[in-house]
Amino acid sequence: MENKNNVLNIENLSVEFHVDGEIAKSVTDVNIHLAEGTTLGLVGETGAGKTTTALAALNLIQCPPGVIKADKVEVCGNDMLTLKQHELEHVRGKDISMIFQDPMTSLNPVFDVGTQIQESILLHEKLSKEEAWEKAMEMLELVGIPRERGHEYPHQFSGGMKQRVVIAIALACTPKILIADEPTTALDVTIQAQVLEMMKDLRDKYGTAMIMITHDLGIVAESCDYVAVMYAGRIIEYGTLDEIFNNTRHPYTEGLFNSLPNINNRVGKLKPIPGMMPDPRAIPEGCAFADRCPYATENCTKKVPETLKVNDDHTVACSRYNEPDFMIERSKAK
Amino acid sequence: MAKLDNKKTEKVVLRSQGREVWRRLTKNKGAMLGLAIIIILTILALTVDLFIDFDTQIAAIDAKNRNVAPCAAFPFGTDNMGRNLLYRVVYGTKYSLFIGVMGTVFACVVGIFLGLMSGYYGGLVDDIIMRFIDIIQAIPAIMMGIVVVSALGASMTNLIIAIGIAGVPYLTRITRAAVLTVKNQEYIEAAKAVGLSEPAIMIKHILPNCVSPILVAATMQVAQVILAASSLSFLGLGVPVPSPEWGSLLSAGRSAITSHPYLCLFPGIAIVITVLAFNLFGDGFRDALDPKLRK
Amino acid sequence: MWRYIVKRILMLIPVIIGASLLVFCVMNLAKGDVVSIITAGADMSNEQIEAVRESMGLNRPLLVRYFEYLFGLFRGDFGKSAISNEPVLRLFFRRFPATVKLAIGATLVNVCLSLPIGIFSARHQGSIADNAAMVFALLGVSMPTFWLGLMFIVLFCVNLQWFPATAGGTDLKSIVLPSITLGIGMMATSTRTTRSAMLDVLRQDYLRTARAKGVPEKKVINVHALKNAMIPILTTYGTQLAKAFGGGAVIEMVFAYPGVGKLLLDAINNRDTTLACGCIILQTTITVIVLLGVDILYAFVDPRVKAQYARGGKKK
Repeated sequence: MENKNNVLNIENLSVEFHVDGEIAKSVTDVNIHLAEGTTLGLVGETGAGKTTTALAALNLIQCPPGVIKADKVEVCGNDMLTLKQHELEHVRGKDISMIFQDPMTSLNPVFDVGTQIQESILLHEKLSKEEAWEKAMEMLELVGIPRERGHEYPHQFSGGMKQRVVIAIALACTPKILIADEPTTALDVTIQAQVLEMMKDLRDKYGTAMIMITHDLGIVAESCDYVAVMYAGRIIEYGTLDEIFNNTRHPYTEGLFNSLPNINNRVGKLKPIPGMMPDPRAIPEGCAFADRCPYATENCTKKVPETLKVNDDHTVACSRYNEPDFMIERSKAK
Repeated sequence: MAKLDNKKTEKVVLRSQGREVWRRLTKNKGAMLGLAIIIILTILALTVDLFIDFDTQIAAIDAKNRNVAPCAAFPFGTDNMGRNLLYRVVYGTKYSLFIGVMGTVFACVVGIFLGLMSGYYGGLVDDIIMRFIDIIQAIPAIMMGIVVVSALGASMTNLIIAIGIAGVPYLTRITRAAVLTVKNQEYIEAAKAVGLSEPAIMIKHILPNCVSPILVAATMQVAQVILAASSLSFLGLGVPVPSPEWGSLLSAGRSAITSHPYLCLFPGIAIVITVLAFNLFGDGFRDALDPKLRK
Repeated sequence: MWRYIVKRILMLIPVIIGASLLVFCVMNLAKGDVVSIITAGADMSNEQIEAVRESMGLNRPLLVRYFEYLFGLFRGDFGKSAISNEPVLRLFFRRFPATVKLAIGATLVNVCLSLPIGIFSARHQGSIADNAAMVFALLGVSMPTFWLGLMFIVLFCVNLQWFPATAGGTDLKSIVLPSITLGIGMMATSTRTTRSAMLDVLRQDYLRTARAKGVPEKKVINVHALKNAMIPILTTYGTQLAKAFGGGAVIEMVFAYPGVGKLLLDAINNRDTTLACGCIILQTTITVIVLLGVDILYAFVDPRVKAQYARGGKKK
């Protein structure tokens, strides 16, 4: 998967938080490679380490209490972990930017929204204040907010409008990589669709590579080329959209699909995954999913499953995958 | 029966909350240091008359030992009338603590009463009381003290009243805010429904639930009162001579500050230690009650 | 916005009337009046003393005198000092510039020290430097400011002889030490406020947004974070400035500094009720105006407050 066209290369990324003498393993051995113009869906339950992975890509994790270990966190050829502070500031916002999860708290309440977009442009592009403001207004219009509202403050906007502003800030300097952390969770369904549509348009227009963090498989199906499923800090299944949806290999991914309501089969009951994701401060030995997994054997609790290749476009981290007659239910049906 | 049970559980909850607060408090070294100093000073203030005689050791003039710099015989030195400053400073604990506590009690009694009325009845009562508080607060506290003491005459009681008044707005506001948060809760409705009288509701049900913010405010207030009292005494508006109140000692020492600076040093240190103790304890107490504030 | 300001200024009037009534009554209830001070040395009969009282109008009922006084106030007439027979306003404003100089000097010291230290402490919460700063701040709030002044006199005037001990002037040299003393006294509180306000803001998501944009760390702290933390900090500065205008009396005494505080104390010692009342009412008015100024400043710092004022709403 290593490729010259890759704009983002993350290899063996681990993030721990050391708080009050306890160690929380938030992310463990994560590998992500992203080529220009492609979109990766990062899927998993709350607390699986999706946001932490994204923040690590921008080197935005507070250290301490955070501890980042990685062979490589490379953004457009810049190693984010060894860059000096001012070089880092140069990369953030220009090469890689992020849309944050909660639009209500992500905007600074004491600056008008135009200024907040303009600031990013002024930092990364050689433009005068007037030109930068003009460009900021263009960005505002691009996300569907009339430019007259540029002088208004965040408290004068609704949640959906704020999210658009956050998106405008992230896109202001047409970054090569855009990380969208649950960009639609805080929005009404109708607005969700608008926002997604808008992001797709932008990707097509600028060839931006995107990571879409979500727990909504519907959004993934709609907008992603690749999917990475995270569980307890690890990527447990990775592949193209088609492979993950139609050739599911990991029991946890199957569980995610089973938790979705199906309009065509309303007789069948939902099958939620029993139990809870383990506490990152006490991740069990072996496969972290073993105690919730209907297929788990005693072996599963002994060794952390290796990442195995299903085919060129698909990897899975399940200890039982190599057993010749092992097959999860979802694949059997196919 | 049900009422009894309720009371029981309420008490259990209160007690375990108290224990939790105490546990957090004991973890806070600063607060414990403050508490230790407060206890020592209190014991000192209560027993000082047993080992220091006011007439012979505090007020008596010793012409042979005027203005002696600190030495083995007089660790804190002596003043211009040959009085041992060590005794005077130690004896002064009694005055400063008494003024600090009584000034706070005065502010608390008046402030809690006004705050309860204001918060519980609301409307016109609230408006009148709060406007009155606004007026008191508009006058700078130290001036308020100066005016009241000069009007009533310089004595310990008047000093306490003068400083107490300055603390009333703060305690009224704290109590009012606390009352407003508990006033509309269901158990108050329940008490009303049972037919409890208003004073009973206020004293039995509302006040106990406002205790913690008021206690924190009161602890801090003791520190403020001691500081304000020392200021007024320094201006000559405090406890009359020869009582060795710390502010008065500083006032007396000031006239000789160029020749005998030690006269101002020790009473000041005594004030700092006492006020620091109350502030340390108050800070720790506040943090223990609201652990969210830390970290 | 203007409507809000006008409304607030109108609301000051009852407060000032109330304060004047309170002060006037308390002062006039005092044991011994100005006549007993003036005539203390003179050999006069009781009838003669009463006559002096009568000529000054002091034997009429309290409320009558108060309303007379109040009407005077509305015409801008604060009466005359019973001792020097000069108009109160002239006496007050002769001394007032000195008090303003001291208050501004102290505020400069206060802001220049507390802002950087408070911000640094918040950013390095729990570090040795933070702990040291907080111990000093706690010591500072536990220390009578006038005592700090006395110690400074011992150190800088007696031992080092850098400054005259009690110059009694208002030139730069005599202002430095009182300003530093008062400023350090204020600084202890404002450092604590700055630190806790910054700690609250440093956790906020919008700082992460700013960092993700590539905003330099210095600007994240000094612009994005600080502007949000400004309201509690401004409140503290404002209260302290108001206190310095009104309550600097003790520091003025320590340094024999000729400000309004000293004027007031002298007036009270002389039972010069008219002068004392005038001083307190003027200082109360100034205090309240400074606090109003701070309230208005909020609007420039925080657009949400501005919106609230524009709606004519009350402060939270």
